[in-house]
Amino acid sequence: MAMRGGFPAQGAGGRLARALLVFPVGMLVVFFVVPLIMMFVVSFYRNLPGAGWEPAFTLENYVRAFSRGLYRDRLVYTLEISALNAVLCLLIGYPFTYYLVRLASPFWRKVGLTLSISTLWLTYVVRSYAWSVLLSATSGVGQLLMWLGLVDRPTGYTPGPVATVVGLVYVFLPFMILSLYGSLRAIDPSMEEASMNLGARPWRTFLHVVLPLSLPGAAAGAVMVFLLTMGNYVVPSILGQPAQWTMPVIITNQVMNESNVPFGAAMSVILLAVLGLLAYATGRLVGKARVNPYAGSRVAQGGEGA
Amino acid sequence: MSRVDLVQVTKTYPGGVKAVDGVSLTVEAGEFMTLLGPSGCGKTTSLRMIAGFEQPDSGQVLIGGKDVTRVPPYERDTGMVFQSLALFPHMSVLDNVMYGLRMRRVPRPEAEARAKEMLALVQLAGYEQRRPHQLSGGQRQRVAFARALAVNPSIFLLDEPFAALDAKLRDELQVELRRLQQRLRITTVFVTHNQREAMTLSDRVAVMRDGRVEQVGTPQEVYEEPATVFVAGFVGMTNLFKGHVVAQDGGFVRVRTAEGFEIAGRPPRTNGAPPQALAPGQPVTVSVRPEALRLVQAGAAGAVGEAGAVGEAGTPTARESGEAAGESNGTGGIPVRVDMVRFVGELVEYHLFTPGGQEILCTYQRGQAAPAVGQGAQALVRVEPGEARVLWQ
Repeated sequence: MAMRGGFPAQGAGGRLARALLVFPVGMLVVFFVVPLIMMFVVSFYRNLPGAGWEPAFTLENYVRAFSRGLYRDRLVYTLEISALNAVLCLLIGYPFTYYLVRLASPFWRKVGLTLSISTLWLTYVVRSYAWSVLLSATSGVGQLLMWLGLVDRPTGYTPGPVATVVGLVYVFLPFMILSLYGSLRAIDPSMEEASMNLGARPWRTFLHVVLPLSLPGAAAGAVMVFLLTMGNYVVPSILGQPAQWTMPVIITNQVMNESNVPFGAAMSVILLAVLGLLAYATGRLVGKARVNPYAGSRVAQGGEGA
Repeated sequence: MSRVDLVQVTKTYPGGVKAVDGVSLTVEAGEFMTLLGPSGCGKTTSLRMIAGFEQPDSGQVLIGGKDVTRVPPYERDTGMVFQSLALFPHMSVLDNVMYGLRMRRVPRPEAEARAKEMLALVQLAGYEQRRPHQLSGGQRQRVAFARALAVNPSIFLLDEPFAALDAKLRDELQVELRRLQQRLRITTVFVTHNQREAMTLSDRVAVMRDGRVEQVGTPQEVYEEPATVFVAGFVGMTNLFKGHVVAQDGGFVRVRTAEGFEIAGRPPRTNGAPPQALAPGQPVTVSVRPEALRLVQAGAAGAVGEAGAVGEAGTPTARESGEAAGESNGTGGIPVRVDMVRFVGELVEYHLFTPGGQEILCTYQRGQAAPAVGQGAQALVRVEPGEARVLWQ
């Protein structure tokens, strides 16, 4: 490779490589690093009610975020509903994806996968409003339940906790399915046959072979859904009452309605810190649990013959 | 140690492909049986029906005389080695080998002792704590053997386990497998498309094609007395000559090949049925193994000029008369042109062409007096008496 020799400093190749790097690095700095620094700086500014803000170095925004029960509760609630959503997506997504992966026909497997992730083509907003119609008292699910004789008169679920959870599961399930699909697909079907051949019933085969081998994919999917839910603003704001508002909704509210940009910035920094911490912790956890990246795959089994 | 019976089993896959079509086969207790055939012949499906992974549409699978057709795989007491080996990558070698015992609720200390014993048997003592991906290809293979045999199954099943290995390692493991099988005296069903592997390992071979068993027999029987043209061509190398029966005299059938040469061969195998007379004019194929052909130098260039004339090679009388008359008169064999001479180590291969353009392969063992004919030379090929076999077309 010509590039390798020139990497430390000299050579036309090295210079060209560094010149090419200017573009992505520049994009990152301009659109990612600079706004983050600005947000961080603004979070220490002082809010002037009705007149914007003034540069200062004050901790009052952070003090307010942690001392008022309202904002603390919102942070805890955000963590709770994100965890709940991750668990629900896992419980619904796992059996579905397992069934999908084991479909004999590659055609129907592809159709199933495409359909299950096709909702991603629509924006969160459209999907949330769709559910708000479906879950209202006058149409959709409420009428269906009455028709089935399960309720006496149609009930509306939106806006409210049920609609929020349904919407969140619906919106983030595809991410879980995608993550699980890769990891379940990589398990050689003869692993399960080997287990059964050795006397394990299907349930024990699942417990001792399939589940451990799909754990990295399941964990990655759960973490992804959890983090995405924490950052989601659209679903709880459309399908929830204020009691279902998560941190992003509160932050938007502060910035857009209350015009308190420094306080919104401070809460964003807190949310970001929590997210970063959780991402780091789960990353370490999953990293430890993982056997090796190709565990169970046909690649690993094919053997590079030593 | 139990016997296995497949009784008239048939399996049709969705789409109408008959993977297995009325196969009946008995594997005796303690026997090493190989299912041999090209891909898609139904050998793997047959094996998977014994293991319980496939259900036959009709027919029965018996293990130890007991009908297990509807018994799920986890209650069948077979030990299988998969083509991909299917070792559990998240478990140590010891846990892999112990898996079957643990699933049968054998207490851990006992299971561990048994697993270690099995690992010692396959010469992997000391590797207990390794993960499968830390082992070489041959070591993984042996772990798979140990895992399948640790539960002391009544039937040992192997689905092309050596397909991914290089030739030298494959040879070593074949010897090891045969030794292991004979030591444990376990009924074994082995699936392969490699005829050499089938010949060297097995007590008996079942040659399969298009979902049917074409012939069952010892490796020697299958090689020396193929029942069909397919078996003759699939097991070992052979030269096939299409032709018509001229006459049947004594133990031999005289056949005139399409090119007009005459070859005498033994009549077709009857598989126990009374021998059927071959009427003159009956179309047949003659199979002659490359090592059964002898090459003689054409005495004079003129010999080939008369090549179109009928050569009465093979029949004992014709041979003798041919020898007495000398090779140069064109009646002592099939005239050929030497296209290539290949030195293969223990063999010398002669690639020959008849005047009609049919390729003939003739081999000599190292140490046999090979004729000194080089590329481009004209020569005569003769069939060793009794070595040709006439087959139904």
